[in-house]
Amino acid sequence: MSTITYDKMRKVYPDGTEAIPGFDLEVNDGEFMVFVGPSGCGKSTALRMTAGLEEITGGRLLIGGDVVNGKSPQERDIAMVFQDYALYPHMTVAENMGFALRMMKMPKEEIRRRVETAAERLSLTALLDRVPKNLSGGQRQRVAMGRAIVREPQVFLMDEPLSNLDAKLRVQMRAEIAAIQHQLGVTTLYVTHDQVEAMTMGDRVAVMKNGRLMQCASPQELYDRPANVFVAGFIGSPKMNLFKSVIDRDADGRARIRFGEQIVEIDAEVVAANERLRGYPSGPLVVGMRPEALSVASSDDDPHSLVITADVVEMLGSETLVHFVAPVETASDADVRDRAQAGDEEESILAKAGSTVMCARLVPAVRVPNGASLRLHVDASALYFFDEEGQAIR
Amino acid sequence: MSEIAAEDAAAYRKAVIGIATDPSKKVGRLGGGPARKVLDYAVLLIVAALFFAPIAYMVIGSFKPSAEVLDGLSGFVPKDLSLDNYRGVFARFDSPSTGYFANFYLTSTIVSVVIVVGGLIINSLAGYALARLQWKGRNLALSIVVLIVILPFEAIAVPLFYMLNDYRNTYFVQFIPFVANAFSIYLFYTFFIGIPRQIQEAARIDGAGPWKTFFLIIAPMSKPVFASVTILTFLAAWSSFLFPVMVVDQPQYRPLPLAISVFKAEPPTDWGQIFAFGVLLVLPVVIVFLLFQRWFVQSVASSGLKG
Repeated sequence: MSTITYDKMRKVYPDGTEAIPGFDLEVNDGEFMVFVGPSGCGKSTALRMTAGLEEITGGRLLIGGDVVNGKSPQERDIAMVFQDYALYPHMTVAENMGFALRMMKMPKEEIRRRVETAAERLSLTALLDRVPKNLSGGQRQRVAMGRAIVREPQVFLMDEPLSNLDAKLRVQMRAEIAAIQHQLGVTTLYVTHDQVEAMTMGDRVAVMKNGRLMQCASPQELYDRPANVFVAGFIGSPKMNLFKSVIDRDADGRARIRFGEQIVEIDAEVVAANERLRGYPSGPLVVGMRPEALSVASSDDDPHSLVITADVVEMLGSETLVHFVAPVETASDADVRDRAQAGDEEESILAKAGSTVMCARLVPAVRVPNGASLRLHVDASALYFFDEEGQAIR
Repeated sequence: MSEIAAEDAAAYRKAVIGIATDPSKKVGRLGGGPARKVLDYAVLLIVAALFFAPIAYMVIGSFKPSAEVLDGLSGFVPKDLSLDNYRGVFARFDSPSTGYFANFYLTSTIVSVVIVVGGLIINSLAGYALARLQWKGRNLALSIVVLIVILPFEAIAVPLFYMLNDYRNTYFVQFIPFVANAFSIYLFYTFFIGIPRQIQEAARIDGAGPWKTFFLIIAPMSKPVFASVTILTFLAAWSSFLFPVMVVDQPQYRPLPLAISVFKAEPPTDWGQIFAFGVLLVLPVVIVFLLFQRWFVQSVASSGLKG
């Protein structure tokens, strides 16, 4: 049983900075768990604490049921793949892969057998006598994986292992790592800031912010049922359009939400399907609208539609992304620290105060000229609602 | 290249390498053509000749009859060559009162090897501890090391002399003050600090403690700095003169630099033999440099260290 249990695990640096205020999570045996979040969210710190590279200030960390707070990295029976691979440059591939086994004083014959088995699995057999500088990025990545595999550890820890690869190789290695993990069935913690990686690889994904766990669920659950505005905005590409609005309830069960001067109607069935929205009073709330919930309206009388001006149009072949400035206030639970980190990414030169840049993903692709006025149908059943604190209404 | 593209390229060069000139444009009156190349090589040849001339003069002179050694430019002409000067050097040092030539060599070799080998171990470990281990007072220790680097040996020579007065005329007194060397520690420190921390962490996870991490991972990765320190330390140890003058007065413990200075001062002055002695003095330094130069050049190129 190689479960990992975080029991109110805390990390406070000597200067008083609280990187992780209290982390609770249970990673199941054989599970592929991905920690994802913006930079500075504490995901790498949590991983390094699991590895034993950072001291745990408070709480407990259990691996396979044993408390490992005071144990050294080698006593925890883990293997780690680093962002820069951290291969030993003076050793051959075989020596790199066998180093940990050598440290365990394993017989040479057993080391050779394990290295050869791992090399075969990773298609590294022909490269065993090469040194890392004579390998490509993808090959180095595989050697780093091989070094972890040969140890047959309880837990794999991976710290953004694909971030140094080009886009094409990253997609390939993503699939390879996921496949190897499923073959071996070893409990794996994988840290990334790339939500596509998180969504495609993880059995479950833990979304973190400021050292806190915002939501941990399967990728589909995170996409379909985000627990709060942060997760809603973080998961999905292009990101969800989030804006502050006001909901007006009708006696017949229908509702309307305001989109600047415009009104979007929400049918009674949609309201009825959402237990908390059914009881939610008229008043302010936050609305989330995924870009794929928008499509070109078939008529001008569509009550579930918005008229927008296409400011930037991106034709991607199979789809068209239309970016437009909406006269609504953006909704975000980002605090001051997040804003500073997000920097230019959060700011847009298109949006002025009190307006938000939004995106519509039109499938199949539609030719829209820049600056054109466009009526978009809103799939009201695919809208997300959050209270003023940013928590999901569902 | 269009005008805009050329401007962009110039702006890029200015941003990246700090100069805005276009390398395709002619530089100076000679431009970048063959004439420029000839001039470049001519200057390089002259500089090389200036450096090489004294060495060539010494080597050629060591094989010539003494009367023809100090003979202006004709001293460079290799004629009437023989090994007489070398035989003469050995013949001049063949009694307990003069010391034996082999003893000078032995002294210099023992002292230099102990300083180099001991220094590599002690200074590299100290550099590693300063660069990579967490301990109280590390920053203070680093500041003290830097402070000692700028302290000239002459400033501590007299206190050292009194501290080691009981050990005069030994090998020990000649190497013990020089094994630990602040400059070497600093060189190791700057190299180790540049090694990615992840390598050390990977070794930790692989089960290597601090000693194994150092000896199995960090040290083998650091050949350039070990080569640099070997060459620089050997050069300093082999040519050490001031301290041996102070602590050695018995011929059997004389190192080569002290022996040659005594030899030069003792009449009759035979320049052919002095040159032969000089060649024998320089030869080991050349051999050590040739052995380690590949990594030394790498280190100079990567660290900006000037030898």
